[in-house]
Amino acid sequence: MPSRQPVATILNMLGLLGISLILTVAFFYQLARGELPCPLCLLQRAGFIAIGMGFLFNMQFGERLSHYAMVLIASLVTGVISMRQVSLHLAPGDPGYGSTLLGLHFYTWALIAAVGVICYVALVFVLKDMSGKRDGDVPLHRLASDAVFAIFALLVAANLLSTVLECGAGQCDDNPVRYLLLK
Amino acid sequence: MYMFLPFLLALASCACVWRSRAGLSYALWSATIVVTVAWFFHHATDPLKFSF
Repeated sequence: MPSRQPVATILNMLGLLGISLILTVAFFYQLARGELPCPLCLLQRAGFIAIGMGFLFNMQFGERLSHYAMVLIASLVTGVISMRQVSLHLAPGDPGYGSTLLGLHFYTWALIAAVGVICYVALVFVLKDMSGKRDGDVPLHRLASDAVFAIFALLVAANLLSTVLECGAGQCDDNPVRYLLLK
Repeated sequence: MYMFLPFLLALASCACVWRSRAGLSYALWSATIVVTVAWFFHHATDPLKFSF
């Protein structure tokens, strides 16, 4: 019998790839433009990583409702953190923090992305129902899921390294301009 | 206050996923969320001038 990739497995892989893309864009601005992330920016990255972990659990351990709950909880945490930073720079005349992408600051994009992930999970549930496959499956294409896992794990490790270099063993400056350990 | 701690916990959770240790990876994920929220409350100190 020919094997068919469950739609939810593909969507979870795409979800993790999307989170990896967000982390890559953040890293691009950090490395290529020298914009060091502020503490709230770092916490938003940690939130996105926690979202990605939920997708990763579905890919590696099989699909579970609790894994989707993890994605939703992490999305809410990320959304609240980014909403806080949006609120800090909401006043008229405030230039905001950091550079912009398509006219919006990255913390605003983080809020949009966090809400987008919640909508994405809703879409996964609908598509799963429409495909008629309700039970969880382990991924069939191990090579593809392992490659996505490796990319994500590499980004988590890179974030750990860059945060250690930027903040050392303490808390980061509110407006960091240099790496603490690279003086 | 270790700013790198959420990332360290997340990386440890990834390592547990790789070793197929589901329970431990869930625990480390939970710790990542708890530390992230705790660090958020630590940093969110400026009062916001909003009224609802």
